[in-house]
Amino acid sequence: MTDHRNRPSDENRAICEVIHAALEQVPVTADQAEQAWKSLAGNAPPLPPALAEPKAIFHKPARAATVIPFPALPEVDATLARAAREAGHLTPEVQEQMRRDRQAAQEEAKANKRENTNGPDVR
Amino acid sequence: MESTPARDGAAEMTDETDGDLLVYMAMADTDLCCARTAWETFYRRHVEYLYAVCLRAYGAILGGETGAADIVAETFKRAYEHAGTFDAAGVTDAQQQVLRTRGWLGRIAQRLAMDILRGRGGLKSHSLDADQWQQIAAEPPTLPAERDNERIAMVRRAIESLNAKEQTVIRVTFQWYRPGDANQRLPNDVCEDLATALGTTSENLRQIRRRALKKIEVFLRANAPHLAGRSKAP
Repeated sequence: MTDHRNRPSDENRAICEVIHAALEQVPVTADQAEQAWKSLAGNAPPLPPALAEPKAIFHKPARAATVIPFPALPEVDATLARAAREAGHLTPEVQEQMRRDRQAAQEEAKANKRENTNGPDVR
Repeated sequence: MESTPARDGAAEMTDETDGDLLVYMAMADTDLCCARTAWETFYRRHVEYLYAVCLRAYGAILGGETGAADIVAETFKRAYEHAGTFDAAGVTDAQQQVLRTRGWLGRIAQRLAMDILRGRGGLKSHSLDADQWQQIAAEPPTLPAERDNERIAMVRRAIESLNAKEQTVIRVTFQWYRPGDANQRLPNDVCEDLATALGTTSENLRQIRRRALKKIEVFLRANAPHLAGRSKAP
């Protein structure tokens, strides 16, 4: 199902054509591949370690997106559940604990990402 | 340095054309060792190119070097699994086959990237279906592309001047843009997934896109009026 309102070109077709050209698409024809290869001459980025060894690629399973664990502490879970049940107020202590847990989880996720160089982060 | 037997095998295949390497890969059921060796040769021949173009095209929307490397790795795996679908279209010249193969790899990478942008939960969870492989096999016609390097450079600057959300919207929606096509369509699931990822609504996404396009036009008028004028040409 496609929504016709989702048309990138509705506003101005000419400007869309040049934006498309400026955004660098992956070449999908032989001609485009030839031009891309010429434009890369001497300037291709170095391969990341993850792609250096073909055999490792072949046996490496694709990874799912990283999940950030939250909240980290059972007492915060319990407080959140109670607040949800009773439509109650979160105390400043719990809010502060939540903030720290979130920060810790985000740092942990960042560290994991640095260690595992093949994690998809689609945004 | 001591070479492994597989390395020696790969070295023996370096003179083979892409078409031949893909034939060996397609025969994995009868000669797995030969197929894997052909794949390794094929991989080494194209990985630098494919990584460079994927990083350039998808780095900003699929997680930078890590995301581009994931797409490349998966593209080569799919190429191995579906080597039999490659169509050399009668091209026998080795160098022409390299270019044709790179177009084919590009179409696989493009499909994978689009599926990720459709929110299928990462590379692990999806595979390309038979219809998609049929489309990938056929090389699309090459359309006349924008060749005005000055205008392209200025539009790149304009895009970089947008805020992060506007850039993401423009970069993702233009993955579905087809030059010269009067009926441009962005699939609803892509629109909805992008809206969710950016914490907004599909309707608001359209407004962000309109605003971003307007900003680009304004940027061009302010910084290169002669180029902005050209953008109004049919």
